[in-house]
Amino acid sequence: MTPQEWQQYRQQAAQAWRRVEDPQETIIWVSTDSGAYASGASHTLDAVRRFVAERGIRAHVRITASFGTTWLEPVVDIRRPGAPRVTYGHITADKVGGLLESVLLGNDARADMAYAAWSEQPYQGIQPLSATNWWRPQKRVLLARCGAIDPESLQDYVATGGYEAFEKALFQMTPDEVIAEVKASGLRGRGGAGFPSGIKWESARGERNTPKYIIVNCHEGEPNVFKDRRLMEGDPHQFIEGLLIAAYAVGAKTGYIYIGSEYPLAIQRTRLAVRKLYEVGLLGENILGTGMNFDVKVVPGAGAYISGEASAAIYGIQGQKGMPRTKPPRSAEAGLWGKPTVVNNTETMANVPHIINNGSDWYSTLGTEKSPGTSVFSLAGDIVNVGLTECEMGITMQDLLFISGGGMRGGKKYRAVLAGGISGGALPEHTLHLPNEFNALEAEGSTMGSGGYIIYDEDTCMVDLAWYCTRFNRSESCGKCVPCREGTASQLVMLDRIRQGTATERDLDRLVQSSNDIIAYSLCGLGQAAPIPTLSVLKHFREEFLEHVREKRCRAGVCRFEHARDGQRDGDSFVVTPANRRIPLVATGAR
Amino acid sequence: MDNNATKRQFYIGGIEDPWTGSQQDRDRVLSILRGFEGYDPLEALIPALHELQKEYGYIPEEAANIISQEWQIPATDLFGVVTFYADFRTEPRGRNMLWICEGAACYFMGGPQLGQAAQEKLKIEYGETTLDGEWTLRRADFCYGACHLAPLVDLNHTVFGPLSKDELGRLIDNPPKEPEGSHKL
Repeated sequence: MTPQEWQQYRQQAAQAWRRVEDPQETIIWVSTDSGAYASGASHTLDAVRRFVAERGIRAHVRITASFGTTWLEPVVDIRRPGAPRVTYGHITADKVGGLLESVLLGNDARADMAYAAWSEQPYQGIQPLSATNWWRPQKRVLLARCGAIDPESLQDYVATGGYEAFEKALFQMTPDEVIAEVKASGLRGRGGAGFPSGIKWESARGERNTPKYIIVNCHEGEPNVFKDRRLMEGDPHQFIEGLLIAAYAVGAKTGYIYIGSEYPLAIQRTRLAVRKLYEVGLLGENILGTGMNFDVKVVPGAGAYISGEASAAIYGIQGQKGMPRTKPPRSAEAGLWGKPTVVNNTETMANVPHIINNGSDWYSTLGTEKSPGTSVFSLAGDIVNVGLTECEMGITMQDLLFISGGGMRGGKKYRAVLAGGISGGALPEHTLHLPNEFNALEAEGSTMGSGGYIIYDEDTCMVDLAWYCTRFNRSESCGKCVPCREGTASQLVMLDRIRQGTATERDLDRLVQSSNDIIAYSLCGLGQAAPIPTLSVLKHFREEFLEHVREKRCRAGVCRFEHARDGQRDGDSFVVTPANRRIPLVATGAR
Repeated sequence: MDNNATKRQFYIGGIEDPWTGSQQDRDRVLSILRGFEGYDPLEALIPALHELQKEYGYIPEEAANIISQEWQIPATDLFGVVTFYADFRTEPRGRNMLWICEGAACYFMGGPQLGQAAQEKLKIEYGETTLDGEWTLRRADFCYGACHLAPLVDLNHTVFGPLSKDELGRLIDNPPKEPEGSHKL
């Protein structure tokens, strides 16, 4: 495609988008992402289409992905002529008829079923979105298109300013300028480690060895972290545009998008996006007549959590066992097939188009000095607003969980938040003033990690939490290095003794000691992070451990102490309970 | 190769093994491999294994040997990959596949209780298949991205939640053919 043809395509897209923006059109949006589908959105969509066809209503039925309100799924949005867009929650197929009947035919906005109106003022008794607690602390950059566009349509993305950043980079900037811009923005990797992305790109660009590769690591993998998943399902072109810009900057010829196999919809939509890019000529040979060649391959994972680690992801793409390796050499020097490789997380890549479009100065006004930009957080657990929220870096835990998150469900008391997923630590109430940025949570034994927060109420036993996290790391340990493989196993035994009431206080010291050893001697991030939940729980909730050990009492009422009356048994034998009897002896394959 | 037949009878029980080892099956494997022409064999290996598993529900040993020979990948490497990644099964699966989510939210909201109820009802443990070949039960340590439905289960790629033990029992008694209220993922 020549630049002229591309401009024509852009105009066509804008033309088609005008229909969506035309206030005289009636538009019904049905949210379709994996969270919505799980709640029955496909039946909702069928019902909406059937209703519109049967009644002969002139309405435009569009699919979107959720704009973050997972707890309201299935979500339907309706905009009628002369009215703002209104979001309705929990619209299962059986409620569709009643809703559309009153809204489209009866001129009643159904305030009882609505969540919010996308207007400045309340509309027919429906609160404006900007007044909701969930929305108020947010700053939407990466999620701006989620919920607005059809994720399966390239036209929608292009019409809303898509691929402008790529054009700008390609025609107005040199690769070095692109890298300088990304470096100046201070963008840090969102996968957990927070490594500055610009430096990664620069060192890969400086390598003489060719060809070079770029990998977008979409292997999120952690339980209850689903922000990358929603970015792929809701706006797949955004991070692919980042990938294209990175390819131009680094001089790569091939890019890989490595997605975990538990994300079938994300794989499907990303593949579709890549196919459309080949059709219009933004991928392939001689892109927009500039002589740039770039191919993208979408590679599925195969269900190993460790594959999210950068070097393990590389082995996964190479069709080998996903076991991390020692560094150096770093991936930027010798990665995929031994060639220089940049590995970036999905959300990191999604940031890139915004930095190129608006400049690094704009980007550094967001967030904090050391952690610029916004971050998408996924909230889950005993919280009201289970879903996504995008806030500036540096937002306090309090605002994130109790304003945007809506607070605890069922009026229960807050106990802890597992920040950063399984590889993060548990934070008690007195640490909630802390800002969410890289390195800020480390003093309290936690990390922002991958931005997935799980909130627990008073019914959760902290020993059980430590046991659960250790079990996860134990079964997902690849088994390559001894500290991680054997250390997590022995910690699991110790924690189980505490749960059973057969532990001694020395076990607590042993736990701390072995945790420090695992962190010090493990090869990769999984092992180094595996004891963090245990350590943080021991630090903040030590009295709960002591209650278990001394009084055989679990204040949450979770641990049963079935073996406690046997006296202080020699704890070396593994106590088997129904809940944990299937701990495999081989490290992986526990699913 | 010879003891494969006895092994099949031994552990499969009532499960019909979709892999018969016939020429037709071998051709089917070869046609899957032909779909990856032009790819580096190593790069195509995991996608090819996914397709093979989609076809047979597991990775039959003989089929893996065919891949090994066709693509010149040492059998040890190939079996390393098959057993390393949790997605790949080395035994046939039951007709119904039930996953109990034990993600970090589901675990604390009743996932293990659901798991225990399912294990007691089906009289198998996680990772096993019932003797009549109806049910395979597994524990999901990953995330379905549907934490608002916790605790949830995944029956034949359809998510159900939030479930109580009794509801799960009813679901197992009457597994819906085309489930309502949910979507095939």
